[in-house]
Amino acid sequence: MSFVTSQSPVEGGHSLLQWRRAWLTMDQNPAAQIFATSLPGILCLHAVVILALAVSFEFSRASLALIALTLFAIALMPSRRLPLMVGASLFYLFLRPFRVEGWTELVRAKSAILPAGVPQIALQFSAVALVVLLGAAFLYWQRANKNNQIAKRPVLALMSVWSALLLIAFAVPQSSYLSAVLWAIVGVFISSFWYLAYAAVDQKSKDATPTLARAGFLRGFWGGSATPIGKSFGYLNKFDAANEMELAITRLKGLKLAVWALILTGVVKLLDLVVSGNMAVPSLHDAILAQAAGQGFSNGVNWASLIANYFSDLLIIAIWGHFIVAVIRMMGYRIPRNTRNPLASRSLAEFWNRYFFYFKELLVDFFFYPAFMRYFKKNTKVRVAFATFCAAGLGNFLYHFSRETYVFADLAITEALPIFYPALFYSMALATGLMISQWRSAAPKPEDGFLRYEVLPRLNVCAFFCFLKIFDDISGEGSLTERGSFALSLFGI
Amino acid sequence: MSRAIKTVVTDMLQERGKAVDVATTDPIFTSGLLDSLAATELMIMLESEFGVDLADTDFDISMLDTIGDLESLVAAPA
Repeated sequence: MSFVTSQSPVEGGHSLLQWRRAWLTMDQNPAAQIFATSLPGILCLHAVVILALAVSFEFSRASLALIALTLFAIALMPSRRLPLMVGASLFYLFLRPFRVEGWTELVRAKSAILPAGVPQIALQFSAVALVVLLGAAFLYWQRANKNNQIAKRPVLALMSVWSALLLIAFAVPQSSYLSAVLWAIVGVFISSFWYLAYAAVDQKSKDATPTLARAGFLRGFWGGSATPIGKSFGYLNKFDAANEMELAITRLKGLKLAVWALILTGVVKLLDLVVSGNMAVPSLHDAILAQAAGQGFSNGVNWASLIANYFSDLLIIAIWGHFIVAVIRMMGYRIPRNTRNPLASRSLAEFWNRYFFYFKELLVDFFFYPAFMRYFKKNTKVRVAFATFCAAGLGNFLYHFSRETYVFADLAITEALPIFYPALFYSMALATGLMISQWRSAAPKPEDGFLRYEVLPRLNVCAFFCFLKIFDDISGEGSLTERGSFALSLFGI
Repeated sequence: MSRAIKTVVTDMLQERGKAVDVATTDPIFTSGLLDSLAATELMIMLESEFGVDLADTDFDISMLDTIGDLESLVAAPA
């Protein structure tokens, strides 16, 4: 059995190229496929993927142990995949109920007002249990009342419930027990919101996953952001490996992706060492804050910071997306990658598709299509533009705003709202850029020549997103004006 | 009608440099084969040529994901 398909002697650089080719085509290699169907092969593939995850240091030990145990259990008991996935995901949700550190800190602070002897973990567990029960009740009710108008618009209904809970949490006395409980529920709810939204939308489709399983899948056990990579069971089942050989191929693809993510992790660390270490280039965030404080760096350093931030961000998104997709593929779901060569994009819309596929899908599924299907049906250009605005502008902002609403617990509205101005500007600028990109009828063609087809469109896309990153911040540090000043100062204005 | 839908999808794929043979049950959009802009073109075609009402609250985008789905949608009574 040979995994290197070429028979020619292998030496030096030539041999390296052959090994690279053999690695990249591993999932098409019959010997590798057969090995991946055997028990030693299955165990070996899983061990290497877990090792890649461990060596990357992108996962905590607890998270890594949960992923490893779940993947091995599914590999050994494939018929139990659904309960194992749901069980591990519920377990993860109880341990890590919040996606943003701000929510964890808020609930920690709020737990101090609870009666003596009630630990923070009890508040957290109760909030998760309540959200899971409420989610399950909603999904069962939706299933039993398919013709009800609320059941037909489940995402709108869920968003209304969450908004109402947020308003009540904001309105009740902040030193009350009720306030602690409500903020914990609001935090867990929004951290799981998009999983629940996909579960509710899935129930309208033909997918036959039991409602109980949907209700328990409010966060993938693999972690990640609040964006559901792999969406939900309806989506995952479309990509389910149909037989042993497809499963083996899917796992080989998962292995390749995990190792690629590990290599990219090394690239990021090297980039960080050279740029931040040797060249002493500050992070974009620090460069903006330094300038706002009147202690700005030179223009050259600011440019270097901007460009380094752009590439670093692309790599970081690619790395964790690849690791998560690799874990999902190891379970037999042949889902597409989250990031796929974004630098090859010739248009802003294409960049979104390639940069963060599942976030783009979330915006398209929950904002673009619903708007497109209902409004401005007589004018195609306006119809597409409005739907784009709803997704990239409104939806994008709402996603980030709702995720960070913990700030309203401690700040007055007038203090809290400015925190979101940069993100609002970011979302509106992105929506405008995408709309203009769609209105421009002439897409570049190969006959336009190398420069106009291969180089300039890609540079335009890079430049647009590179500058937009200046406003991609919701930390509350660096106001919109300060960020605007930084952007202008790059051009000496 | 069946041929028309398949032809439309194949033409869209070819226009985007993806000359692949798509089976009736293959996901077209969720797989990333065609993007959301292509989906809008298809939706407009469904409305204008086949009279499908996409504003119906029962409609879901997953109903468009395969050629088979599209054929069922078009064949369904209004």
